[in-house]
Amino acid sequence: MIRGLPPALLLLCLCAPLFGGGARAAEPGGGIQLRDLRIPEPAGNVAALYLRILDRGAMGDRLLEVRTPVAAHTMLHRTRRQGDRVHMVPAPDGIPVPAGGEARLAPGGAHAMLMGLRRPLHAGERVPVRLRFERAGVIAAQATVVPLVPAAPHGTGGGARSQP
Amino acid sequence: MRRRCGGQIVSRRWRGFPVLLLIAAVAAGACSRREGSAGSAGAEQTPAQRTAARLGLHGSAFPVPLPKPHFVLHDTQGEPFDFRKRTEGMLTLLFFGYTSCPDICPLQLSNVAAALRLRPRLRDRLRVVFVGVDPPRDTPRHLRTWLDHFDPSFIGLVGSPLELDRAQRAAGVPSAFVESRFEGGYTVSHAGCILVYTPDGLGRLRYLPEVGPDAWAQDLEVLLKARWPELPR
Repeated sequence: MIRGLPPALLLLCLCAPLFGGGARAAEPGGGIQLRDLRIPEPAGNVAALYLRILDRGAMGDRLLEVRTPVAAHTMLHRTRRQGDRVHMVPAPDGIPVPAGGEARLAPGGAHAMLMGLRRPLHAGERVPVRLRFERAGVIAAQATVVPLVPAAPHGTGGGARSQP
Repeated sequence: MRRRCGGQIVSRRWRGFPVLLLIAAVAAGACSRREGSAGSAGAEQTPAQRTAARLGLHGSAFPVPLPKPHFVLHDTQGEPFDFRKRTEGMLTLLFFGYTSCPDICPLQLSNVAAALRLRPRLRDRLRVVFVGVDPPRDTPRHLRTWLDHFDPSFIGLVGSPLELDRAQRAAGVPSAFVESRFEGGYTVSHAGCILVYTPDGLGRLRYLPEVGPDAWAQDLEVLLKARWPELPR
């Protein structure tokens, strides 16, 4: 279908995603969209990146790698449970994104582990990340650092003193 | 006492006690149930499970309540901490995890911390005890700083590998171990559930990470007041 389009229109089609909301792949055939990129404010020097990956195409894709300048190392992980035990299993083959569907990296499931944080991250700030996909290639995006503990609705959280 | 978590430990300790193994199988099933409400097996439920179901609790109830484990570790000030003595008469949450955990540990602790922000007055009426099972990285100082990010009222405990192993065995959870090493660190396999002991000193339920802040807040209120059936003699 794309072959039948005039070159100018084709160029416009390819560039159109650049002007839309969210991060999208600019490559032809890369119908990948990233949503809700978030990093809970880390309490130590590791963090997790969570997001939703939408595939708008018919091919599916695979998240292979995540990089960010704020972490020395990154790794794609899945959390597995066996009875009461939890394991974090590396996902060396990446995270598959079903064709026309969605992959969720969410707490208790899959995440990109960010290790060796180079500086503290604070709620509200935006962190640049680059995600490499098998088909869509590298997509640059921004992840938002969100509060580690969801805020109480009426700001009633204060008053506790540190325990031994 | 071992029967709540993990079939391996159960079979090692309770070999020759088929009835207890049966109870263990029931308990293991409850753990894997998503959003494990206090039970749905109807006629197969024990009185303790029926009570938990009636109370609308979101954790998975143990078929038979468990005694509070006895272990002594060190708090983040370096002082010995006798778990049973120091939590006596208090609603107590016990969790074994590690500070370099990016996913389950922050998730579990943030669920409880958020519940306490919803109900700040509960803070003085319960003890939340986090045991760091990764001694090289869970140093007392780091553990304190880490816990303060969630809630400064959370108690952090550390110990030697042997002491930690004893504590986990006493609590009936699978012992943690280093799972995979890679450039930049390693992950630790550990027990993922939060154990809940009611003020009468009995372990009643375990909570999975799916139980969110609202459900925790509701349950903590209920657990402080709940009346449980007498234990069979």
